[in-house]
Amino acid sequence: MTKLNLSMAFHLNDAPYLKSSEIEKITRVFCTEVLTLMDEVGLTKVSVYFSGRFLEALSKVNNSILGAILEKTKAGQIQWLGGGYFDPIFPLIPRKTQDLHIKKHLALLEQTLNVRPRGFVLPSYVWESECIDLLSRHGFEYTCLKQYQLQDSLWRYGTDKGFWTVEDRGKVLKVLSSSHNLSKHFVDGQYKKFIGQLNEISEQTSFTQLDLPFIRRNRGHFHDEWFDRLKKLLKRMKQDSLEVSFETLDSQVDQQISGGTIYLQPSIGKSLGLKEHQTSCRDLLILQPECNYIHKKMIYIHKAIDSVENLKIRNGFYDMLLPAQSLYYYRNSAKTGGIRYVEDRQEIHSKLIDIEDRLRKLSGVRGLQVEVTDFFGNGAKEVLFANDQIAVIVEPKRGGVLRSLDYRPARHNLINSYLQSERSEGKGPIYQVFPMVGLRDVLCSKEDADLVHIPDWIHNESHILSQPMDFQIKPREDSSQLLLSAEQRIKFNQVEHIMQMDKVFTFKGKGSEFLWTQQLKNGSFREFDGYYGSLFNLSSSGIDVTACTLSVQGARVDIKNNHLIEDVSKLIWKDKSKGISLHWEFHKPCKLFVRPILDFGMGNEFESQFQGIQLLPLWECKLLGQEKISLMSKIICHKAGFLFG
Amino acid sequence: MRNSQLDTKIEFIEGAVRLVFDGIFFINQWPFVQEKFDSFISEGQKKFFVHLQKAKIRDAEILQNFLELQNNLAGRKAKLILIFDNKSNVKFFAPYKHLFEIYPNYETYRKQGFVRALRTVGLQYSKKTGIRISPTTAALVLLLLAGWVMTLLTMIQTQSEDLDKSRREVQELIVEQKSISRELKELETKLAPLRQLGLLKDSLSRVKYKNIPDWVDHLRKKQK
Repeated sequence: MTKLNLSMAFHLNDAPYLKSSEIEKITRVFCTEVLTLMDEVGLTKVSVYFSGRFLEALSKVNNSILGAILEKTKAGQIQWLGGGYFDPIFPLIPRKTQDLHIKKHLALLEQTLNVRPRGFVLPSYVWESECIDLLSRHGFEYTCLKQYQLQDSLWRYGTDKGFWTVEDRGKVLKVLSSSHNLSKHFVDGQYKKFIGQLNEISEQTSFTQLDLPFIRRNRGHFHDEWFDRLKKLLKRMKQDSLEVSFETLDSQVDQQISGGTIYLQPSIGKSLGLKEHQTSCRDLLILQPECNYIHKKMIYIHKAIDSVENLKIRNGFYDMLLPAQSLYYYRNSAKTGGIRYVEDRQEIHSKLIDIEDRLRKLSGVRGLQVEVTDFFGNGAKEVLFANDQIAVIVEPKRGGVLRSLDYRPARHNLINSYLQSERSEGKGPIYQVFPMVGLRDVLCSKEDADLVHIPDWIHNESHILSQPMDFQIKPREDSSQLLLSAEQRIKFNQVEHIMQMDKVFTFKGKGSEFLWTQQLKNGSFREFDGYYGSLFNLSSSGIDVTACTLSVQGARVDIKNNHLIEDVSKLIWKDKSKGISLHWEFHKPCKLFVRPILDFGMGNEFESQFQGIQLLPLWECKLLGQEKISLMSKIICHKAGFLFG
Repeated sequence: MRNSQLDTKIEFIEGAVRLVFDGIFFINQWPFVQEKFDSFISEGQKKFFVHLQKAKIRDAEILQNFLELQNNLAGRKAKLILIFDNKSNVKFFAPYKHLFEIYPNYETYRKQGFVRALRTVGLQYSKKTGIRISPTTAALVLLLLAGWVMTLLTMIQTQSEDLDKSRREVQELIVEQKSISRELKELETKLAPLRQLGLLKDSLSRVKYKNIPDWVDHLRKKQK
């Protein structure tokens, strides 16, 4: 058994939900506990990473604590690591903001602790080759990834060397590996296994590393109990007379020998919530349309900021965008918060809408903005409409659906729910994940239009009309129209039905309403006798079902259960927590299907939580060959109206 | 259009339409552009800002189409303003840059409002009077007029200063006169008893003292 050099790296990652006072408290407790570990329990050296807000809080802790931290930093006992100010997923954000995150973090480290870090912490260990250039450009010497990430690139060789190097166009970065098993045993509180693992490692190599992210769970839960665990563990290690000396990561790099150059494939850590076989952060965007949406919106806003002519104002907007790039919002796990949580989605949407709104005010644009762009980067064009009150994205590629409906005064996206299905279990076809949308056309037989069958065929997506539609725009300052047309084919009861669909959206230059007109023409010479409908997934701003109400024809509907209501010409959806109401008026009365959208929320990870409601107005269509039917409805969003309807 | 590589943004700003093109601009996208312009013109729009900063123009025919569009708009009394300063587009439009109104960005266009106003003045003269005045001439004429106005203002100011000075002097003299009158009255009061006793001949009553500017000098001369 050889003497083992153990490096411990303690991380305090970005937690957007923590208030400044909470951040300060955590920082104070963290520093005090680390000092206790060092002074009383024998942890001689430690590496520490603080994201931007924790570093800010560090400068505010009392002088005796900060003095002691500074003293230990100067003595080389505490070594600081660099990172991104708000812990973004670096490969997914534009270069300008990559640089800003790093520069701001470096400046704060220099200002508070007078240090220039050599090592860099990649949030959630998201690795792509681009990181070599990025980190070298900012003068970093090494980064640290998880052992399993390196193992994939090392084939049969063990990770028993000090570090490895990765190279890109002459730029070289050292990569250290931290033991996943050690951190797992620690998190599980398995001291025996932890020490056993240390013994095992010491037989193969002379060093190892343990990363401990103290903020792991949802909404910035701080694992202060880990310090007691660490104290016990260090005492146990002494009792077992393990030959362990503590080193910083810097000294590991200086003392150990390079294992040579390797090619490191794109890889990720576990906290993003992706499955084992999904190795790139880009899988997150492909598998989770909700992640993809916030990512693309961030990119879209970044482009808009690039166009701001005044440098000072432009830089101000970049700074505003940084918190909206935090990795936290992209996490796809039921345990750690992020994209599955309605509150988290609401928060990130709110941040992005706010920046977008400010950009619009700055540009001096009046009336309606119309844009035809490949918003999602999927090779198809989406159409964006925006005025002072609402902003909408229509996806002609997916059958002319509404992909988002931002109500700007409330900073809320009304199409923002999340429904876990086979897609996130890795069973379904990966590249055909359908997002939650509004006004998705459906066609069903009369037998299928009941409370028993509707949920089934919605789940199976069997009656959905989602052929790509051609589109034309008539843009005007006061109101613009989008005409979508396509021939949609659908088969049920062994019969194929062909429908010529012409959908028109009319958006106004002012106000928060829009019209939706639909014309269906039976494209065959066979009679169609069934229902046409338009599925709308309306999201709440929180999981509190009591904060939301649905009134149909003036009567309140219990939104916890499924309903099929006859003869509906008006419905009102209210979300008290955001102070929003949505009125949907139908020119021709319909049969309305209502059901709650339930999925993971802030509670028990196995318990479904309220996310919003699914509305499906259905109109009876008895169309002879080549016969037409026209339908019209109006959607209006309001900010107030709880006292007086 | 569905697979077009050109993104289009349409905005309405300060009574004008702003079209932003972003991406690769091929000639087959022109019908879409033309259609948009036709639609706006039919609605009475008169001013168009076309942002080409992020547009990568790939077909030479597009220049010809822009020229036609410019003529077409001019014929309908509408205005086309191109916004870009990237090298490739500058080179692309270079052969006809004198025919287009091109600005590096919207801010520059707004800042150059004065020069543009001069240009407009020049054009209006040529249309109303039949006399062609180039923008440079219009600028010189305005400069001359401004010079005249400046001279006039300087003269008025100088005269006004002179008047102020004279007014101040008159004021001082009035004050001085009042104080001398007071002194004279005091002297008369002192001499009154002597005059009543017949010891003193009144020499002053025969003097038109009101016309004497300085009594002290006058008395000194009398003593001599």
